[in-house]
Amino acid sequence: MDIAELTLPRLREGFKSQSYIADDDIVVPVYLALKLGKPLLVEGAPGVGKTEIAKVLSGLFGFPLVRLQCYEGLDENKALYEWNYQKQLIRIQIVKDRYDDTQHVEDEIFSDAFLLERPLLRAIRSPRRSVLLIDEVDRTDEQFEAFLFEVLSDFQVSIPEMGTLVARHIPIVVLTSNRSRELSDALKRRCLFLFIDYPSVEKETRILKAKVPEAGDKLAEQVAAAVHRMRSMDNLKKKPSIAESLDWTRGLLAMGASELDAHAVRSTLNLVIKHKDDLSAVLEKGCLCSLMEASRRAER
Amino acid sequence: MSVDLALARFAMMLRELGIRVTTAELLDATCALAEVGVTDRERVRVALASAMVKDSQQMPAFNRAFDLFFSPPEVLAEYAGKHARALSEKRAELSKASEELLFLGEPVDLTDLQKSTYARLDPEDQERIKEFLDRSTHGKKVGPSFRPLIESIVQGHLDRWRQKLREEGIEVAVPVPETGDLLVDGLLDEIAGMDLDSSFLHRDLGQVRDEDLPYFERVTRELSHRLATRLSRRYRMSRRRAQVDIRRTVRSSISQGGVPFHLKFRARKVQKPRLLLFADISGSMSKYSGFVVQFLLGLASVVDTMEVFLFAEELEHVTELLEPEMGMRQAAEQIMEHSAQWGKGTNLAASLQTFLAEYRSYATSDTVVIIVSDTKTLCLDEAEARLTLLGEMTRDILWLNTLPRQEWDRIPSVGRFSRHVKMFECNTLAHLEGIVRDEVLRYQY
Repeated sequence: MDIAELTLPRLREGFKSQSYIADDDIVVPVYLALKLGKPLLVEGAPGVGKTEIAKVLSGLFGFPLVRLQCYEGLDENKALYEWNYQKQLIRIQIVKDRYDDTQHVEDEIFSDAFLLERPLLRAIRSPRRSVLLIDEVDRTDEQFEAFLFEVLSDFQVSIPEMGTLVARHIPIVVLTSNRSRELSDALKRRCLFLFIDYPSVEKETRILKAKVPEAGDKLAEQVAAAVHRMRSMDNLKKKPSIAESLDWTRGLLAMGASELDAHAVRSTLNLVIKHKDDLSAVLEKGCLCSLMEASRRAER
Repeated sequence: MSVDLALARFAMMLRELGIRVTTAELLDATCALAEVGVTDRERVRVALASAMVKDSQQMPAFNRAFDLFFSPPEVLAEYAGKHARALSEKRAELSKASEELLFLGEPVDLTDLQKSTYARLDPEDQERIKEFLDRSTHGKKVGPSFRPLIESIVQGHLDRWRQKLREEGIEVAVPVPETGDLLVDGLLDEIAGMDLDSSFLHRDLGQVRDEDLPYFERVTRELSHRLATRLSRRYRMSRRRAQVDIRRTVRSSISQGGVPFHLKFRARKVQKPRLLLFADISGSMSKYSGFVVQFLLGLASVVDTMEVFLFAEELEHVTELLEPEMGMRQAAEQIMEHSAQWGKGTNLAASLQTFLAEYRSYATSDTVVIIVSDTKTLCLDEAEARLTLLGEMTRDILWLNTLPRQEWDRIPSVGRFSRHVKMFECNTLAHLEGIVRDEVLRYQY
């Protein structure tokens, strides 16, 4: 698919072909990011499908996916490039008694062969257009965010020993954030924003059916309704994500369950609820009943 | 109205609602509209939101503004007309207050909010204030030098009335700042009367109803847990600024014949802050303090030590009664059961005196003191002097003031204490999270 000829209906179809169920609230911002050439900042709770958007775009356009997984302490060496220090050292050791021409050795050890490309540089130097996924950008510190912002503005980097490298193709940039901290205004200003909330029962049913087609209508509807009910519980420490409801459905199928019943829920609940106190809360008699009731209502 | 002009007015309205829309974002919104067209209302909403709103918390405000702004022309005209009428009523209300509240024939100096409060009072209560001013005007030896005293009495009286009305569920509206655009101002008036914030993060903690407590407790626990897990992660410092650890590098190079094949870097040492928490549990303060105590208890893993003191008329050391996993209600029950100070009046001076006499050893040069209070206390001079002393003994004092910032100027104790502490407005969970993240935990490094 060519971005220049992209239309909203085609993008919507494209998402569907990649088994990503998305309505206009997701497709329109993605479409605009592609059309306006802007980075897309995707926020939402863990497991709602933020990262998946980059994978879908990569699959859809056939562009390679370059992923930069952020974490606290990430610096530009690990994000951009590093010289292969060990390799340089070995090279120096090998040639130290043979060459007098030190300039030649220096040129050699600061060449492409000794450069370790990290994700940002890989995306910039990619011979084809790529999808650059900067995952969980909120985990980095403000300093790195400022550096990132610089790179994303110009899509060029300066390596003192090699000069300035300019991107051959501007990548499609998708940033994700779990909102563990506020991102800077400067970064947000340059991105289009997409917030992905937990889906409605109806949408989650469609997602389950698309991702786990063998589940069938009945089980998919029941699981979606039960998970929706769990998310509405105030006392849960961690709400189940879409990824977990998919795991739960697959787990139920593996256990041979074709519909939700109290036994099936009890034996597979730890696939969707990951905290001991939450498990106890859901397994409380009244709560379990309301869960079953919710899934029965969905079935009706 | 052209699309560009409509978008510019819409952006102006969003800015008034606290959504920062820059010119660049406005341009993005214009381009976005050009891409998606204007025929599908929902599509326009999503397109504008993606370009203009960069915070999910602001979505309710955006949606409300969008619904109002993109109404049919006749509805918009109605909003503008309504605003024009309200404006003239408001002006009449304010000028009536200025005409009626006179001291020595001159209007008493009041804010618009105080004048609006006056207008909301029952006629008998209004009459009482007028009588007071009248008696004061005709008192013996009364001269212009009495004006500051009389004005501060009337202002204080009206502020207390506003608080009382608020407790009864009657909110005296803070006048919405006017843009001069009748339509935008009319729409802002409509929005001002709506409850936009569904997240509870921006609700006043003192107004939390009992039935909402479980929700607030969960949010408090989540925020606190999120900060704690984010900040307790240890990592090696970035190589960019790191120092090579010569000793470890040389040691590891022995196996490679002395060639420093693997460079070793100095690990970053995380300094955890030591906290001293003073929470005011007098009367209306107890709810705020409960939340702060619960929030900070959740940070136990990222602070070195935390000592909790409660104060009202006197000081109590309650660290041992509290556990990190405690919810607010549990903590409150524990405190109410053991504390003799719950719900009493505030005497910070006496409380600090007790601290300095009995618990002085907790105040060290690397301790950060957090005080949760609305600053209203007896014996202001003594309290200020002891606070100064505490400031000299410790690294910093952060004061979480539960009073809204716009009221600070009118409360003398705020000004007095602000000289010796870093004071922050803190009456919502959003405030609390921001202060802990940006101020308290920066002492970690």
